[in-house]
Amino acid sequence: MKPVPDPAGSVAVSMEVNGRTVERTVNSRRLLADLLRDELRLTGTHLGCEHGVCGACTVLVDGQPVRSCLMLAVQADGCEVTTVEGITPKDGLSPMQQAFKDHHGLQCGFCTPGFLMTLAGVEPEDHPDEESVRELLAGNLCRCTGYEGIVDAVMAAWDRSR
Amino acid sequence: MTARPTHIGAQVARVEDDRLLSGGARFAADIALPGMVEAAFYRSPLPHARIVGVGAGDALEIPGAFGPFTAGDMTDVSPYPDFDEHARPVGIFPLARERVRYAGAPIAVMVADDRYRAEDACDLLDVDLDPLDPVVTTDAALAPGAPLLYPDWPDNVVIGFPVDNPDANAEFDGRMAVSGRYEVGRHTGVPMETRGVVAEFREGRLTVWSSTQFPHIARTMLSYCLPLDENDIRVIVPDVGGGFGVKAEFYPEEVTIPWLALRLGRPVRWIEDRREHLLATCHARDLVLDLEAAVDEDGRFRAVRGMAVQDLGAAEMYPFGYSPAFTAIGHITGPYRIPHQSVGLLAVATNKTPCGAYRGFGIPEATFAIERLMDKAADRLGIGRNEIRRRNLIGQGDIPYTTSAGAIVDSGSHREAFEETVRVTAERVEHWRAVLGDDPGIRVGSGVVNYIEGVTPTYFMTTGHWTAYDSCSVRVNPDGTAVVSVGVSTSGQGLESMLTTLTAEALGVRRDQVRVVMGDTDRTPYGLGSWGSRSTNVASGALRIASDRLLEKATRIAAHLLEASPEDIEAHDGALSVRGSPGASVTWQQVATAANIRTVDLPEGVEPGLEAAATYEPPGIEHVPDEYGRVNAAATYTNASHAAVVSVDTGTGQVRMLEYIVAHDCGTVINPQIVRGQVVGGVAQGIGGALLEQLHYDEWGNPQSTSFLDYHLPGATEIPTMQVLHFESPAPAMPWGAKGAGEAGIIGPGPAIAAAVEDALSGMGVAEITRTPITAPYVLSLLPTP
Amino acid sequence: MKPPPFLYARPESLDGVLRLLAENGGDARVLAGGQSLVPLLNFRLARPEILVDIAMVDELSHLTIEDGGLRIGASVTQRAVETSAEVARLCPLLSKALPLVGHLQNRARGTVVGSIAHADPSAELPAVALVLGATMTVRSASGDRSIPAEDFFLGPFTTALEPDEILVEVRFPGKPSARTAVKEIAPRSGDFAIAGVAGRLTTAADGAVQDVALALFGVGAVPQRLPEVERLAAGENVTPELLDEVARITRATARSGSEDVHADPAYRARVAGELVRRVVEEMAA
Repeated sequence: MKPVPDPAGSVAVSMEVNGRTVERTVNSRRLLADLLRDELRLTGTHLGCEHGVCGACTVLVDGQPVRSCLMLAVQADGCEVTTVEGITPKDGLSPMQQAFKDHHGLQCGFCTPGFLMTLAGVEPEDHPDEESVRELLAGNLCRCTGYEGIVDAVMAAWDRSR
Repeated sequence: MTARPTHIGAQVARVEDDRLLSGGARFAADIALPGMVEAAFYRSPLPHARIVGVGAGDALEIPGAFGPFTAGDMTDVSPYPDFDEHARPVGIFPLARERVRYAGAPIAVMVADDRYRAEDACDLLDVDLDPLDPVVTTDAALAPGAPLLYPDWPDNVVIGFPVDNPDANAEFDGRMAVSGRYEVGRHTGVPMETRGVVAEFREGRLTVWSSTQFPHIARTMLSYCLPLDENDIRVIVPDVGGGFGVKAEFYPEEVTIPWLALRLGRPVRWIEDRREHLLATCHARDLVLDLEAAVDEDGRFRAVRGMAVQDLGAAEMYPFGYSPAFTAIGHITGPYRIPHQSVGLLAVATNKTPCGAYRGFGIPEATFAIERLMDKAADRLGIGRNEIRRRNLIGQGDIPYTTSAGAIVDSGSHREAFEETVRVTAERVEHWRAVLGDDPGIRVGSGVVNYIEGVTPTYFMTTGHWTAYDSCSVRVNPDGTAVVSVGVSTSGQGLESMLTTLTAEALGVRRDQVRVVMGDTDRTPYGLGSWGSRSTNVASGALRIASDRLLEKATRIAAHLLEASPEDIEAHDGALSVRGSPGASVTWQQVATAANIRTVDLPEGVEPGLEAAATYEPPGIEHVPDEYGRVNAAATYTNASHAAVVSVDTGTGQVRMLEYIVAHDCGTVINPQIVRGQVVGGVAQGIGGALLEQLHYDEWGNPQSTSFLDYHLPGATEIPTMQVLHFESPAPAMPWGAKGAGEAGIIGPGPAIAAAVEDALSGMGVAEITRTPITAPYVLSLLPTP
Repeated sequence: MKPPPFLYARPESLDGVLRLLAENGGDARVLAGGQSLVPLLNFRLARPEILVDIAMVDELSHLTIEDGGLRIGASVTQRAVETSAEVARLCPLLSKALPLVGHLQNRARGTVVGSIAHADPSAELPAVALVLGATMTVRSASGDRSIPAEDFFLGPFTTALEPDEILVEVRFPGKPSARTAVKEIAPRSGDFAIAGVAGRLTTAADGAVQDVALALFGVGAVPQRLPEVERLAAGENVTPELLDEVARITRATARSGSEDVHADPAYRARVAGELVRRVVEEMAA
């Protein structure tokens, strides 16, 4: 990691995004979400509230699901960042994506990448039953599905019966 | 034709899903054009003020900033026409002229290289506002001497529709009257995607990408407001992240951003942020219904009368926010045999965000009032709450039934759905009482309600401008694939999948041979858009006619190629075959090649091409009401019974949803998974409005719910497991018998949950629940203090 | 909703942080996890000249046990504390409270110390610090000082920290034998509390309450202990009558100033009484 000893308006950053090294000079105030969307054109990460409540912007940073609207791009310097584009197989869908499709876990799809990234960053055994799955999903808002299809998809993808 | 396998009712994967799941979808905010600048609006911080001046201040010190642009710069822009002759003229202008009437009203716009700098520039503007006395409630707005929002008007009434029906009044003579005041609070659709507009003016043509639910209407409105012909405008709807009605309004930003593109000669993008969304996208509901019923001793309702008073906010919204209130009056008797009604409307302007459309569109408000009143009458008479409904519900023998509002209920399962809901609910309550029985501070209750919903309505009465039809064009390419283009457009509910299925059904082709085109005014026939649970009806109706025409021509061509008689040709499995002779068959590719390329193969008298277009307006819709407001304003009527099972914590007032039961009938089900998703999603939104969501204002008209910290959408932990029981009463007049499922789910939760909470607290001396949201403090305020 | 311009620095040492804070005073803000600060930036409710990111400062990244208690450095995430078995053993109340703080995605970035320094009156962790008798270690270029939790919270979003100071760590005394509980009323899972209470309690051999500490959050301007209730309960057996009295005194003595769109002071006081009753009952059970 490069130290940044003096205050700066622009900062050189280097990070791994979906397995690819990205080097950019970013304005210190630029949000990670905007770096991903506007500069790297990874537009699968969506901004739904820009204050950390809705979860549409969830990405993985060093494997943990975080709000990319509450993280400055400079804070991701030296990190591994994974977006929905990064968890999508070259052909077809991942098992969780396929489960969302099979169980109608999406309608408009705007919130969907955020849900998928939260799920990509957790261990199924930490969320053993429906109640704990719902608690896990509480950090992502969906306005279309009433969560039924999403919960069904997670339970199916994690081999749980309901 | 002989029976063949059908796509109708089959559970098939949605065609939209892969791109949405993989990050490959394109929403308005994902559009980036060369040379594009981004816009930010300066919005009024005050609810009511005179605009003294707008100066650049230091804004132009921001690198790359242009502006400020204000109403005064828009000399070539016309205000929205005022189409409704019954309402006071509002003359909506894209940026505020002279006066602002709500906090959040757009006053000026700045553009810069990105949104960060555009906001920097807005921060530095020098805007001088002279505060005016705000009008914050309908009572204050109607008080003598109230400040006027529109100085040219004599008062703050946008539209008044008094009704005094002597037949209804006569029913009150000598009968018990039950009355109440029922209030559905201000909340709204709040899709996860905010609004967005991107505009580009190139080579004399304006292209506008907008997250709208009605691209053709938007283009027509743009041509009214901008100095351009409709020919010079193309409106494209990208992927839309939920609409729920709030994107079926034509907003000021949809004029301002295209105007900026014209003015600057550069593409301009504006993506609404969440704070703006809660201030400037339409609010909804905020309706108070004073309702009184004349009731026989056996519980039969004979008439209802009363008044709906709506807080419209600043009224600068088109289509107008009073439309849902009219729909509420049209549904005030629900699925009950109530012979007479006399319910009027007063829609009042206040200094709040203008109200507009939201899923349910007045029917949740009506249902809340009539169902609460029915509970009250039952309690008063000592009749069970389910029993009183049983005595009033429409039965099969009543159908077709004309309600006292003029709605002609042509089909349904009103009693069957209700009885099944009652039966299941009783079981579930028993289950939950057993589960939670130990704790005396946690009480379980349930409530069952019913409603009908007019779907595919006319919008003529309140827009003053457009009606109820839509359109479709079908074309078969030389390789046998089909393109279907429609005037409706999707905001995420699955219309592409629905049309893919129906086209495959109609032409006998595979689903993967169908491509649906929607949401592009250059590539689709004119249509009125997606709202009012209408898209399945109107698009499928037009598709049915167009595909029949196309099929007739294809049949003639196939018959010619096969040297058979057209009467013997049937379409299935991607081919046109002679019935009973499996070998005698031509593919759609052969037919379409003959029609489009090798026209020497066409029979005599058949013109080249394999394409058909049609429009469809369902039969029986009336566009103008009679003097008592009676009108059959919708194509058909769905029905449903809802039940909430809740627990109430008597120490804190917290209501927990335990389970929700829906018996739903929207006629023929095309895709059961999509219908269930619509119902469940609608119920979830209804639960939000019933328990959590409220757009608060302080006593000076300052908005208090401007972030997701204060406006609470329900999450996965607030929405319970649901049981959905399907009934299928096909609409007799509809081509596929389908009715439309988009809005229904949201209608029931308010009154069902109110009834369930009262039931849970029965015996504790709790007064009637008369308003939503039913928050924990509200519930606790009904309980005796310790 | 994009942040206003600011300068950004990411010193590698605590001295570097302290130097920047000394030079910039009130114009600087410390950036740790950003889960409270970045929303304020996005709303442009905070407009610091400079953000001092402490992510690279090794001296602030410790989660250690000392004298049977916990030392939590300023850059330690809530998630790291939540998932620590040692924390669950020494300070079970902290482990119980953390799942109530925001959502998983917030806790992955948000810090325990940052939440305490932010001093949101509705937040759980300041009340936990109060109940556990935590000590704040504060440092500036001119030296160190320790502030007991009871002297730290001065008002909504206001603490005893001076502009040139940073809260470098919070020390939680280990209370492995105490019974603890935390309960809150929030509109939804993960929301800030409308009212909440954190408590710890020890019992004598005969089952009577020996020592009890209770702190409300979300009810008033700062997290507050309930001395009258604690005195009343000490030495008593927990009976329904005592619980009624505990609830009554809580309602009567809670400083319930908070009013927002979600609840008025009267509601907050009333449910505070109910929550204290339930917390004491649960701890005594």
